[in-house]
Amino acid sequence: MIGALRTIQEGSLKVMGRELVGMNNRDLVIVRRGIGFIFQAHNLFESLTASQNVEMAVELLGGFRTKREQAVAILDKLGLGHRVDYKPNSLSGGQKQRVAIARALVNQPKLILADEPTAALDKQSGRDVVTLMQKLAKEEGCTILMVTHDNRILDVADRIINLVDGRLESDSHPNDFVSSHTQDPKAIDSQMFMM
Amino acid sequence: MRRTPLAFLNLISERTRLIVAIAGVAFAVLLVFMNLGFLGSLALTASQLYSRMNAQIFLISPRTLEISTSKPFPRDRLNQVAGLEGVERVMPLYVGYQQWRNPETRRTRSMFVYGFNPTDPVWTMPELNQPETLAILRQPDTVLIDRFSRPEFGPQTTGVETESSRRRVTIGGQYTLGGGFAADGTMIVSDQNFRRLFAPRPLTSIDLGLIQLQPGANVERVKKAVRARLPQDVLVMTQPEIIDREETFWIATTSIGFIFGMGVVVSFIVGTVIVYQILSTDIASHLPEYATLKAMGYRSRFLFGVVLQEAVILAIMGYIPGYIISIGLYGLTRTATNNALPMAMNMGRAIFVLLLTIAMCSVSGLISVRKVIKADPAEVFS
Repeated sequence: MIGALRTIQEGSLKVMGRELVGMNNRDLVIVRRGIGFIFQAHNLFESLTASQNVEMAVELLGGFRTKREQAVAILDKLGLGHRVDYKPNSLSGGQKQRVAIARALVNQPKLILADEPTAALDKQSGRDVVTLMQKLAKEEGCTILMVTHDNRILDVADRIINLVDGRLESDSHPNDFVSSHTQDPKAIDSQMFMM
Repeated sequence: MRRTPLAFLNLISERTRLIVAIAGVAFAVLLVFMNLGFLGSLALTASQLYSRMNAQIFLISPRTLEISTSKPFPRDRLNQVAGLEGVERVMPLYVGYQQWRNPETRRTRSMFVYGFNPTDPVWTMPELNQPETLAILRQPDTVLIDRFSRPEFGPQTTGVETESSRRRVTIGGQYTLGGGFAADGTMIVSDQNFRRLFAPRPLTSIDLGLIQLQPGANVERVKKAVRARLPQDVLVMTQPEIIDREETFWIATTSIGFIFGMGVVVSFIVGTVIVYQILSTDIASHLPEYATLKAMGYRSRFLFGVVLQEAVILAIMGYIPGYIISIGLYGLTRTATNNALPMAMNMGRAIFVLLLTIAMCSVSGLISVRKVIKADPAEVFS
């Protein structure tokens, strides 16, 4: 719902200052364009190279002239500078997830929604992926809202919301000094588990 | 920089599936081309007889459905209009079937016979207008045989003697015409020999009246004058009209036309199903990716476009081999039927089939695209 993927009939849900309730499909699509998505599966097009997968996101906002540079630049930041023209099936799991992150980050969204981004990865690459996410989020000044069951990566979070069976169990701040400059959305889907 | 060619890249990323898809489309294209080829040669054989006659206006009996089943009418009808303004000359044509005996196997087969007066320039083929040929035709019981007659009729060498409906005849020469769907073989004789072969049929009852106009005469005006002069027991038609009538008979009122028309429809459906299979498999296997595109903010319209592009690319990639193979098969058909079916490619048909193929693939695209449109971006989260 926060991702503006569903039309919402009742209540109130504000994402980045915009009321999503009662919004029509057209406007929802526009909201989505301002959000970066990272999924459990990387969901990359097998037929496209890493760079082309990222370019698909740039094209969404019309950057046809600079899409290649933008894509290469962000892949470079994610340590994939030497893999820009590889197709997903010749990349490792961690590399694929990093391409997916590049795709979510390339348009410099203010909000990134990540759904179990480390679920399909081993410990080390999962670690690398979230560290990179954290680093880039700081650089770009964006919020990452991550849903995860993976307690190995909890330490990167600035704020942890624990949801059990749809109810808020706790809302804690593992790293004291940063809690003030992240702004989590006020309402949270009750089915999400934020740890 | 242009947009990433997602449709194209999606298609070529799975080589095997692409080759199967192209083969499927090519097969459908081939089927359509063959059926249209038969239909076209049906129309062509119907028309080429008349286009090889030196006449602008034709008289036939209203009871005649097409030339090989013509009903005779009085020769007087021709004489009645011979003196009209604009008419150069009038020429009768006689037709009928004879039982031709193959001199080698002694088997008989139906042969279609044209009879004409050798003093009339009925035919446009130069080989039938040579004085020597006409002299041969005037010899009693001498016939000219069509080179496009089926081999079952036996040798076509000049001088061969055989029986035609219990009368001894000699092959005096050859010509090239083709009998199309109505006849496996044809021969041409003089009107005197026609009378001998078809005795007791008199030469005063004719099958086709040919009216040749003076150069520069207005066909429509003369046709009106002829129509006004003659009773309703004959039809008066210009060359395009009689060709059209003959084509309509074969295509619209015989099972042959229906079969090939049906063939086109069935091939279209087969092609649609094949392309649908390919596209929907492609969509099904890429559904999470498509849903991701939607989540990223691509509209359904974009995905719609991608699928349609894939359809059109498939159409064109399948059309090219289909076209090439069809030309080969047309040649094969011409050889196999001894040129009786003049199957040939023409521009109009090539473009028509190309458009049909694109339409076919687009229809499949439209059917399979519903899945993508319905793809729920929220589902990729679960």
